[in-house]
Amino acid sequence: MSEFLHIAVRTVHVLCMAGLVGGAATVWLSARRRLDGSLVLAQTYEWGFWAALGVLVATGIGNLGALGAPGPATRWGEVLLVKLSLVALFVLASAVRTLAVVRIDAGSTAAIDWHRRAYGLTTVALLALVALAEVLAHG
Amino acid sequence: MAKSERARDPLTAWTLATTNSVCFVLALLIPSYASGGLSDVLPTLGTVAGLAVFAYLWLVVWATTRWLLDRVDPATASSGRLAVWALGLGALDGIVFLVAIVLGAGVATALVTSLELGSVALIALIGTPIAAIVGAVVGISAMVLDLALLRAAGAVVPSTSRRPDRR
Repeated sequence: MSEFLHIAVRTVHVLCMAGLVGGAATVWLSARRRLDGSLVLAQTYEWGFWAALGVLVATGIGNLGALGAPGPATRWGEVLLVKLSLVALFVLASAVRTLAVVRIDAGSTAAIDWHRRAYGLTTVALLALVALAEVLAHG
Repeated sequence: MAKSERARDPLTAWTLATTNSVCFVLALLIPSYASGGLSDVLPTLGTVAGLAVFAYLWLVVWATTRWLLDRVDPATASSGRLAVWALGLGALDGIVFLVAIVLGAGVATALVTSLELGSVALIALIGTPIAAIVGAVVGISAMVLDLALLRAAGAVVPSTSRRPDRR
């Protein structure tokens, strides 16, 4: 039961991250190609983004407990601290992005360019966090 | 109020509530892990219990954030008024959070061990003022963070695309 639970938590963690990366890349691509409805897509993504982020943090801590994380003085621990600090910065930057999306006039042409930059940056930041997670997963 | 505006407003509360909940957890987690105190404690906490506590915290913060933003506009309210709301709702969140955790965990423990229900009530009674003070401090910190995020968001929106009804 415990093993099943840990695998389930890890699966949810990975799926949430996949959703965040895939969603951000989709909004970026949509804004880049100036597709109709890309700003509506961005707002829809933001709802899911915060739901997935909350679940991601909760399951991430669950993973730490299940794995029995090595101490902070180890190389693994140092990488984890870097990752957690970057996650904190990413959360704050994402909050600014979402609150800006709420304030942007969807009818404006400048809004499309803003979305292209914002979601491009979000995708790159998420991929960097995935890379750090890969380093941790491989010890 | 336009339909799109009605649809967007709850997104602000959802964003701020999740940001505050996640930042609160990270603000506890990062220094705890860096000091070495977490490596032994974390494996002893149950996965289901940990997820349930986080979900409950998230729910409480979201409910109070939504309730507050329905009544107070951070763009126009004075700093003093916002501080009073932040202190009050932070204290309320702290109490609601602690009482539910103590009663939930305490009653469950009392049913299977020799712990008496009176002891659980005493712990809740003693913990309530402490939770209120901690909650008030967290509430005022969250208010400062939220105002900074709202101002930063206003600054990064291109001026030609800013909605006239939003600051």
